[in-house]
Amino acid sequence: MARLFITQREINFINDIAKEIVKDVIGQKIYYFSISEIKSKVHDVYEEAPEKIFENPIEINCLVKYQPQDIKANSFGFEETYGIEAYVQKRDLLDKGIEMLEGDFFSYGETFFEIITAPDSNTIYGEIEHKGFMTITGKQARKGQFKAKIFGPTDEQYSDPDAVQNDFYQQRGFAYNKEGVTGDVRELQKEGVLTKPISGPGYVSNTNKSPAGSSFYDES
Amino acid sequence: MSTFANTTNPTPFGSFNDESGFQSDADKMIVFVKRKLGDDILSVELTKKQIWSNLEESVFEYSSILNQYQAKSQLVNFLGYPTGSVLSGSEQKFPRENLEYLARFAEPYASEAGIGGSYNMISGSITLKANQQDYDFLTDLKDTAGNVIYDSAENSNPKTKLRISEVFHFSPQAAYRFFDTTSAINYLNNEFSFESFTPETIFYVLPVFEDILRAGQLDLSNRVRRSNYSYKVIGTNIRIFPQPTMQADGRKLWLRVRMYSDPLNPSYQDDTLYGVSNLSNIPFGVLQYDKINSIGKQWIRQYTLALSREQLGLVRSKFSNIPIPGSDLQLDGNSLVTSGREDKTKLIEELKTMLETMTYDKLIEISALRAENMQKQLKFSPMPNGWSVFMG
Repeated sequence: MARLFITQREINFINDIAKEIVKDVIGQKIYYFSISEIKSKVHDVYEEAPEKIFENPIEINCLVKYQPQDIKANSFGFEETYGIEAYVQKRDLLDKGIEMLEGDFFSYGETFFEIITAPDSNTIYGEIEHKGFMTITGKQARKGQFKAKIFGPTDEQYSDPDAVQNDFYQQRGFAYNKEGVTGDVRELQKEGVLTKPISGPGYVSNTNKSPAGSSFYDES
Repeated sequence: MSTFANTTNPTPFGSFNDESGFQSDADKMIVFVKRKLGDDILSVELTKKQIWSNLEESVFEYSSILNQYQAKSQLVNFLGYPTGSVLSGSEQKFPRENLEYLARFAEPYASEAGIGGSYNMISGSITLKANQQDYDFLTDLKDTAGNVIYDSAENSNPKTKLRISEVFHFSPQAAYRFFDTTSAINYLNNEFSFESFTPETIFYVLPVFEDILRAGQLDLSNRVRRSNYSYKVIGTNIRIFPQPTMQADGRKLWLRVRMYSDPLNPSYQDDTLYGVSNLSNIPFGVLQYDKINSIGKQWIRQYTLALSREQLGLVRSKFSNIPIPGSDLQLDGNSLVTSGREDKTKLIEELKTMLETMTYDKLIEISALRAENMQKQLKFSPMPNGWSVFMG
């Protein structure tokens, strides 16, 4: 579409809509572990770190295309490997100052994945400077290759406190919600085009004491 | 947080910006509209100024419709009156009725009958010649100074044919009634107001139309019975009957003529020509927001919401699909536009239907019906004889 009709304001609008869908409606997230090149000891010959040291994990909202595990039979029995695709909004990464690179790791559920490819998958209406999202393709990390704490939700068969996500909090452009700092930026609000929502970020909760279980239905 | 009062140019026209009620409602309208459109859960991509603009438009719409119906009721009374500030604010007044409109309609008939109207007649004369029956009144009719009336300044803008209103082919007599079919004593009785006491008076109770018919009879007899003179007009010629004799040579035949009436130039200064003429210039202003009652304000709120819904739909339908990570998102713009417009149409129809029952003409109908029904009802009411009068 012509630049005549797609100005920065339209780009902001599109980005904000995308953020709203990803963060305030769908609520899927991955935990991204960036490998520290400084802290990891790289082997002199193979130029690879046998043990990888990673930075603190960052929660990233995205859309996840879950793929069933690939099961292979070999002489030792059956081997299950997972692959995954996650679609991450480029604008959100820029807001948070994150660069996702091949070779880094992320977790989704109880599984850790190594990023195989992380290309920019599209531009917004053909404008090269405005990328829409990245498609992160992950391959299950070998056991022992990457060790870190597992963040929920994982699976309801487990008894860990965060195995099931009981609470979902929107962000809606607020710097904070009940979970803490959001890092969320809505461009139209930032530019003063739109005002903040008339009420704060809503939530749905199974643990909340409110009988309605949701700020959407009970604001008391 | 910006409020209506501290925002620069919050509405496009600013017609109500200074009214405290409007300022207060404008801020509340943001919450009302956004909440109704679901902003508590997901974003409503409308700015405050858009909503304020919708509020202003709603008041305009309400005002316009109200004024249309007020004009329906009252235009007839305002016709010809000044269009400017003199009647400013008259949209919320209850004016007295007048008959100016009807009188204006009657003027041409009065003018034709020679008893009024808005256009002067001009008298002139044709000098008769022996044995000449035909005269061109466009060239032969002259004023006392000898100027041709057709070429006079009064017939210059635009120049038109003259119309002969009257030909004085008899001598007007002030006291003709003394010698006519009616007793002369009636004239005296009328002049001295003792008609009921003169010996010649016959005590009949006569209706008014009898007098009118008698007046017509007198006029006709003056013109027909007392003279054998006559004329005929063909084109620009007037033919005199009978043919003038030698004795009439040089005498003058007096005519009273008038020009074709220019509707924008009557014979006197008439400023009402530039007054109210139709719906476009009846001096009805925008209603004052603070004076609108709760019925109107609720309509305005609903209409603002409908406008906002439509507007949100237009915003969301600018793109049919929004690219989101890994997919496309279809926005609900079109359905919002449709439902917003439906709401608007419904609100306007409801308001118009309501107002249709409240034009002054309709109110009279309703009052008449009520009176009729009351009469019917009273027929069934037991009333003791002697205490009431039964009608019908």
